[in-house]
Amino acid sequence: MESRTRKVLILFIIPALAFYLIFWVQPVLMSFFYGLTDWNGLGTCSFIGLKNFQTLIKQGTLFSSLKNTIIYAIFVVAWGNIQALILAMILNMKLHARGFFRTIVYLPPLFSTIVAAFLWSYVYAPHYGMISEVFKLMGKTGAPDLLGTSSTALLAVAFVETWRSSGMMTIIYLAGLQNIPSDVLEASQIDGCTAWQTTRLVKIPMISNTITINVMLGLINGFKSFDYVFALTGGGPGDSSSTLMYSIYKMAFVENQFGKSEAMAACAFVFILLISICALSILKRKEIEL
Amino acid sequence: MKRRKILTLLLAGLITATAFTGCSSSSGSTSGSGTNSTSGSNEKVTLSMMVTTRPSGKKDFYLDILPALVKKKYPNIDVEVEQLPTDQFKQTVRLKFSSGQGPDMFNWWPNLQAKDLVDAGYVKDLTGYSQLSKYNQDIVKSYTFNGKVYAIPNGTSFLTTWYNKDAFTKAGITKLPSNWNEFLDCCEKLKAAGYTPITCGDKQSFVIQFGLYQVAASQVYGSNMNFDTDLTTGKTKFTDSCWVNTIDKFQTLYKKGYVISHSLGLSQDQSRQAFCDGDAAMIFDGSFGYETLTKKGKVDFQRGMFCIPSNDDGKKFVYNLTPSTGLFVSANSTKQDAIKKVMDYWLTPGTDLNDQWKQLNWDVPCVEGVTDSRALINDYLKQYEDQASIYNCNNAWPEGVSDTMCTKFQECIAGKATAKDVAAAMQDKFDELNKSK
Repeated sequence: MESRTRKVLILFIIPALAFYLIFWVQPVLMSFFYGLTDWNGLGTCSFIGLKNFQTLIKQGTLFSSLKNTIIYAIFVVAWGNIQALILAMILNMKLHARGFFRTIVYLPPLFSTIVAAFLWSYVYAPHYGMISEVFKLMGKTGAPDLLGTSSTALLAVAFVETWRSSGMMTIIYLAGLQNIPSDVLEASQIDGCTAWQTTRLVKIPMISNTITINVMLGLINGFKSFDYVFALTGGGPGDSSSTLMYSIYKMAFVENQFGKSEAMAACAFVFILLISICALSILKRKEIEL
Repeated sequence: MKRRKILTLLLAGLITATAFTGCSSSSGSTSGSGTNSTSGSNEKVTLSMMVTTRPSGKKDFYLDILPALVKKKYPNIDVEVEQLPTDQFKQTVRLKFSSGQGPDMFNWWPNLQAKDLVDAGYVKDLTGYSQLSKYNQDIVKSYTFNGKVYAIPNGTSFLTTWYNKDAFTKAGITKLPSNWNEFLDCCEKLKAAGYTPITCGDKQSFVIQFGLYQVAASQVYGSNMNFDTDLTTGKTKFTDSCWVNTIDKFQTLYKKGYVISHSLGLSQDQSRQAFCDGDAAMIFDGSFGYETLTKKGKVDFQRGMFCIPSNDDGKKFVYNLTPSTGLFVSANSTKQDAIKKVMDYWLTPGTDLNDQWKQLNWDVPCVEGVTDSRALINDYLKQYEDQASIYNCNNAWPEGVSDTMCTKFQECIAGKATAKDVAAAMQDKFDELNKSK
C-alpha cells in the first residue's frame, strides 16, 4: 500500500482510537491511580501508596471474595455447560414440537436479571416458597433455606445464573451440533459406534470450538458476578456470598471507600486477565489436539 | 485529486472533533439539569430535585403535587423530580455532585451522613432562611455544622416494634412490657400460645438495624447519652460492655427461638407480609413502614407499637426518635432565585403547596402548629412524651459501620460469631473509616 494512502487511512482510525483511549484506557489507568489514594468519592484525596492493598490483604476481604468468585465461576462454567450440552443434544434429536421446546429453553434469557432474581427469591423463600411447598406436598418438613444458609447461599445464587444463561449456551451448542456434517455421523454409525461413543468420540471433538466459546462466556459471567448476588443475598449471610465485584461495589458505594475499592478492582482486573489468558490458551490447545 | 485529499482530511478532522466534543467539560460550576440562570423573573427555569422512593398512597407529593402546583403558581418554573431507592439515591447524588451535576434541591440525612457534602462545599448554608425558626430546634441541630444550618427538616421518624394486639390479648398479655425481662416474658407467652413472636427479614441485612437500635437506645444511651461523641474521641468503644450487651440481648431473641425460623432467607417485604398475614405477632420496623404494615393481610387484626424496653428493671428507658431527611439546596446552583421561590411556596404556612405537604408528608412533623394526622403515630409518641429519646445510632457513625454491624450480626444469627465479634468488627470499621475522614 502506498505510504500516503496509509497515512490517510491512519487518520480515519484516530477518532475510534481516541474514543477507546479516553473512555477505556484512561479510566482503567485512573482506576489504578485511585487505588493508591484514600479518595472517598467526594473532594480531594491523598496519595497513600500501597496501604489499600495491605488493608485488603490484612482484613482478608480480598481472599474471601476471590475464593467465592472462583467457586461461583467454576460452578457456572461446569454446571452451566453440562446442562446446556444435555439440553442441546436433546433438542437436536428428531422430537415432536421441537420448535416449541427450543423456544421454551430460550425463555430464561428473555427475563431481565432483576426479574429473574425476584422470581427465584420466591422459589427459595423459606416457609412458603416453591421448594418449601414441594417439600410440603411430599409430606416432609424442614425444606432447606438455601439463600439463608452460609454454606449454600453462593451456589444457590450461581444456580440462578446458570438457569438464566442456559438458553443462550444451549443455542450456541445447538448451532455447533447442527454444523457437524451428517456423513461423519453416518460413518460413525457404519463403524458400529454406540450413541455414547458417537457423542464422546465424534460430536464433542467436533464442537470443541463451541465449547471454548461457552466456557469463556461462563468464565466471564462467573467472574463479573454481581447482579444476582446483589438482588438475592446482598453478599450474605455475613460475607458468605460476597464476590469480587460485589465487594468492590460495597466498598465504594456503601462505605464510600473509593480508593480501597479501586485497589480491589485493580487486583480483580489482574486476576481475571491472568485466568482468561490461561483458560483461552489451554482451550485453544485442546481444540487443536481434538 | 488534491481536492479529494483535502476533503478526506477535513472529514477525519470533523469526526475527531465530534468525538472530543462529547467528552469536553464545561468550565465553571454547572448544577442540575435544565436551562438558564434566573436573573430575569420570567425566564424559563428547570429545577432538578432528587428524593428517595418511599411507599405512597394514591398521590405522591414529590412526583404529582410539587411540580404541578409550582408550575401553576410560577409558569416559568419546572421542577423535574427524580426518585430512586435509597442505595441508588445515595450513590447518584454523590456522583452527580462529584461531576458538577448536583441536583438543585434534594433530600439527605442529618449529622455525620451529611458532613461529607457540607465539607466539600456542595450544599448551601440556609441559616438565615425565614421559616427555619418555626422548626423544632433540637431537630434543626442535626443539620447544623460549625454553627450553620444546611437543611430544612422534613420531620422525624422512629424505629419501633409493631405488634398484633389481638395476638397479645389471646396470649394473655395485658400490659406492654416495660423492661427487658418483661419483654422476654411477653415473647415466651406468645410462643406458648402458638404464635411466632417476632418476624425479621434478615436476608436484607439493613433490617437488623431496626431491632438493634431499639435495644441500643436504653442499653447504650440510657447510661451515657454522649456515647457517640465519646466514641470519636476514643473515650468509649463499641467493644465496651454496653454495646456487647446490646448485641447479646438482641441475639438472645434468636437463640431462644422467638424470631421466625430461617429469618436469613426472608426479605423485608416477605417479613412484612408475614406480620400482616398474622403469621408473626411482632415486627421490628419503623414509622416509615406505616403504609405497608397497616394493610390488611390474610387475617385482620388491630395494630399497636412500642419500643423494645431493653433496660433492666428500674433502669432508665430511652426510645428511638430520629430526625428524618432534610431538604438541602445545592450551593453551586445558578438558579437560587427560583429555588427560593419554590421553598417559600412549599414551606410557608397557608399556601396550597404547604397544605398538601402537611397532608402527604411521610414523616412526623417537627414544625410548630402542625400535628400528625395518624392516630397510631400520635398515640405512640404520647406514651413516650416524658421519656428520653435518641436518634438512629448510625447518624453518628461514618457510612459503613452500620453495614459491618448488620453483616456481622447475620453471622451471629447463623451461629458463626458472637456479640463480642460483632462489636470488635464495628470498632475496627469505625477506626478505619474515622481515620480516613
